[in-house]
Amino acid sequence: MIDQSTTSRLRALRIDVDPDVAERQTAVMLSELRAAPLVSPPVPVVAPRHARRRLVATLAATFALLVPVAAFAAEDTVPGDFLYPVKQSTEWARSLVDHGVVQQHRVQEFEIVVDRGAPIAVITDRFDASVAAVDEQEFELMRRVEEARERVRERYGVDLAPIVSGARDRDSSTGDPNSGNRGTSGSGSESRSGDGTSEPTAPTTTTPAAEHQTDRSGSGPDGDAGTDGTTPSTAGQPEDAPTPRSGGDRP
Amino acid sequence: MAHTVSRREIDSELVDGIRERSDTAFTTVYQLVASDLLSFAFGMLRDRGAAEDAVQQAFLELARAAPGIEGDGRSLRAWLYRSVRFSCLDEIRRRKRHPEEPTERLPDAGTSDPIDFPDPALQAALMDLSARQRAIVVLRHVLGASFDDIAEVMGSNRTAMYAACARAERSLERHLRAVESADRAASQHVKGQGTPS
Repeated sequence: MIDQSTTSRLRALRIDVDPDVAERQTAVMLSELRAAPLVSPPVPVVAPRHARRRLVATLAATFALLVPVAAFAAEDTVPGDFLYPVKQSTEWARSLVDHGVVQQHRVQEFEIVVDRGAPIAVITDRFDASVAAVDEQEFELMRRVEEARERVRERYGVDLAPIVSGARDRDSSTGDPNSGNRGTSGSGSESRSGDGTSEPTAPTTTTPAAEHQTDRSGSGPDGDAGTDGTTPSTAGQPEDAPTPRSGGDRP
Repeated sequence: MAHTVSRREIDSELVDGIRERSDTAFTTVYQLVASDLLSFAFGMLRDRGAAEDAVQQAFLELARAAPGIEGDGRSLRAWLYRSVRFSCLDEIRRRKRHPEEPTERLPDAGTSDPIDFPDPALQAALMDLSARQRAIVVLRHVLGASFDDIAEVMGSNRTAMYAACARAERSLERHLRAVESADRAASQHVKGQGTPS
């Protein structure tokens, strides 16, 4: 608390308006009152500058709160969702420091549409996007794509084109077992070679035989990667990972 | 405002008169609060001329905004204090940006001579506080305002004002001791020099 003597000294600082000044100021005030328009816009009791400062602070705080919340809520969105543009914006910003975020998002979107049971056209679209985005050296992401693709085959009876062949080539190579540009060998191709559950009649399917042949033709001199029936999970190991061929036709 | 120094209140009839732009109401309100506002502005600026300008500016704003004024007499008084406070803050900012330029006086502003401050040490200590702390100390100890009224003027709440006032008081005491000890040292130095060896 403040000293009693200091309090007394502070009280002594009070001053009064000089009578001449008071008279002059009153006259100015009254002339301003007569000159002012009769109807002024209503003003708040809070002084305008104070209200403006409070409004700016409120808006800034709201914005600062909404941005991370919206970014968090947009994490699991897919194209067509309301918050997907937010995800695209944050993805662009994050990709400046983390190049893997785009690949992760595309794979995640593919998984989400598969899990949601989306129409096959949407799933195909997301599969294309994930294949286009994922680097062949990203074994973990490739394994996730393969697993989601496996679920598509189980649910829809549709076998999407091999991950390493790229989305662009899938249609052109469908139904052509001897096509040379079916892509290189990969864990996904290997996993399909033995089960024979794909639907040859579907527009985006490939026959097991065709894939088997393609795999063998693209697996290099050893040829063991395409014949041993390696499962996708085990094929995710780095030592079993597919070797990109020179002249590969990834987009 | 709850005044210990002066208990002059603006009643609801006066507020209605202000809304109706009555000359009498304006003159009465001026007579009731002008000295309080001047003391507040003077405590903030340490310049009587600039303080008179701040008071004049507040009543000019009131004349323009009169029909839209809301609330009771207490709200009107707080409105005027806020207006004076913002004018003082503008003046303080202007002085920081252009310390060499003299204050521009309002047309028809008062012409009273600058007064010598009665307590220069206390004045120096006050000016060492931040503008916010100075406003709180002046409202509390020069004008005897309650913490609720201070909160309304400062745009805060009672609890925050109580804590801020305690901090401001500690700062003021510290600055005051420093200023007074410096003054004592200076006067002893002068005496020492004046003594023949």
